[in-house]
Amino acid sequence: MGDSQYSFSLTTFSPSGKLVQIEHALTAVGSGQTSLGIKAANGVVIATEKKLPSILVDETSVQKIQSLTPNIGVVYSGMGPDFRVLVRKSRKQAQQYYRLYKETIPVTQLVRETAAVMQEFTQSGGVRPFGVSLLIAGYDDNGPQLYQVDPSGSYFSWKASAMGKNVSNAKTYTEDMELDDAIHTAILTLKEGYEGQISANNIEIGVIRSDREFKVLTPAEIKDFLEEVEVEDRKSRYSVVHSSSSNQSVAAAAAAGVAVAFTLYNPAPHQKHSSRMGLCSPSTPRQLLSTVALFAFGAGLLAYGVHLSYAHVEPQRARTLARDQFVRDYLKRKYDK
Amino acid sequence: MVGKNCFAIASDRRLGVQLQTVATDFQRVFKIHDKLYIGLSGLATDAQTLYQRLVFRHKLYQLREERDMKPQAFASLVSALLYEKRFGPYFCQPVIAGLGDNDEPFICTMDCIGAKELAKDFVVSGTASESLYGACESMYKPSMEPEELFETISQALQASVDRDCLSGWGGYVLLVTPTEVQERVIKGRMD
Repeated sequence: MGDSQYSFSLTTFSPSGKLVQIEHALTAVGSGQTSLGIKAANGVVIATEKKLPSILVDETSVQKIQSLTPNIGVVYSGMGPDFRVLVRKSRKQAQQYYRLYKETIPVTQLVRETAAVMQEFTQSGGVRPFGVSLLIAGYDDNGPQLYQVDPSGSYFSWKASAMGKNVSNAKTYTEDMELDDAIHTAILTLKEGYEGQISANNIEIGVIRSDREFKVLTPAEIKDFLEEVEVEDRKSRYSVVHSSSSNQSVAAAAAAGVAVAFTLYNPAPHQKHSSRMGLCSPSTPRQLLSTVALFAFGAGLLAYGVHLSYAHVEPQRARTLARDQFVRDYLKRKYDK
Repeated sequence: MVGKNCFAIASDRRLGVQLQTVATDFQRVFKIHDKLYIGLSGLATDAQTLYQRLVFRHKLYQLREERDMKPQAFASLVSALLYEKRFGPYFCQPVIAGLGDNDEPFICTMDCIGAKELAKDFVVSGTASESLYGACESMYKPSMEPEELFETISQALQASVDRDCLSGWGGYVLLVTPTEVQERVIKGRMD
C-alpha cells in the first residue's frame, strides 16, 4: 500500500499533503450512523438514528444525544466511546468557564474549546484522532446556533447539516423554517435514509427553543411527532395526485363522486380517475366520509333522473306517437294523392 | 456610586507609606473598557500588578469572544484571580463599576481574597471606608442625574477624606454615562 509508510505516524504528511490518519478518521465517521441538525428561526433540532447491534439490547440504555450545558446539546456520528471522552472534556470546559465568569459559556466558545481538543489529538504522540464528528446545537445571546466539528479539529456553523451514512439525503432545508417544521424535516430525512421502519425507539431527537433549555425528546414525544409527520405526508401526497384536476382535496373527492355517478354516460373520465386514485395512500376518516357522502349524492341524483324519466314516460310516449302519426299522415298525404 | 443609567467612581490622589506622603497625583482608578472601570485601593505595587493582569485577561477575552466583558463577568474574573492567591493575597480592595446590558449600572467591591459585595447604591473601600459609609449614606439619593451624582460623590469623598489622615490631596472623579465619560480632578485640602 502506497499510504502505509505515511500512515504509521499520524503527524507525518504524505507527499500529496494529506494526513492519512485523519482521512481514516473521516472515513470512520462517514460509515457511522446518520445524524443531522437543522437550525430554525426559533431554535435548533438535532436528530440521529439509533441502530443497535442486536434486538436484545435495551434501547433505553443508549443515549446518543447528550447535553453539555443546560443550553447546549450534542450528537455524534462515528465511535461511541470517543464521543463520551469528548463530552466529558467539553462539560468540564463549560464548567470551568462558568466558574471563572459566573456566566454560561457561549456556544462558539464551547465549540472552539472542543475543536481545540480534537485538534490536539491530531498532533500529539501516543494518541489517535477522534473517530467522531459532532453536531453541537445551542441557543445563547447570539440566537440559535448549529456547529459541526470534525476529527481534524475544524468546525463550521451550519443552517442545516448531516453526517454519517446517506449524507446526501439531508438537503431539504428551506430558509426561515419554524422549529416544528424543522423537526418534521429532520424526521422525514432520517426516514428516507433508514434501513427499515423508524419508530419512537430507534431514533433520537434533541431540541432547543428560545427558552434556552436543551431537551432530549422522550419516546412518547417522538411518537407524537412521528404521527404528525405521517398525517402531513399523506396529505401532501394526496394533494399532489389530484393537483392536475383540482387543488382542494374536497373538490377532488367531489369530482370523483360525480364521475362515479355519471359512469353510464361517459365511462372514460371515471376510468382515468380510478387509475389515479390507485396511487393514493389510504384516506383519513374525514376524506372517506366526504367521498361516501358525495358518492351517495351523485347516486341519488342519478336515481332521481331515472325516476323523472319514468314518471314522464306517458306524455313522452304520447308526444312521440303524435309526432309519428303526424309524419305518417304527412307522407300519406304527399304520396297517396 | 450609582445614578440613573450612569455611575461615578472616585478616589483620592495620595500615595503614602504609612504617614509619609510619597506622591500626590496617584492614579488608582483604571479603565478596562469604555464602560467598565476598576478602582484598586491598598498596596500600590499590588494594585498595578493586578491591573496589568486584568488588562491582559480582558484583552485575551476580547480577542477570543469578539466582545467586551460584562461588568458581572469581570467582577467574577477579579474575584477568581484574587482567590488564586488565597494564602498570599494581593493587598488590594477593588471597586468595580460598569454599565452592562441596556446601560444598566453595576457596582461591586470585594475584599483582598475576592469575596464579592454587591450593592444597588454605592460601595466604598480603603482607609476612609468607615467615614465614606457615613457620608454616602447621608448624601445618596436613588436615580440621580449625572450632574447631581457628580456633586454628591465629590462632597461625600471630600467630607470623608478630611476625616482620614491617610487619605486626601485632592480627588479624582470619573462620571460615566451611556454616551460620554467625564474625568474631573477636584482640589480639596492639599495638606
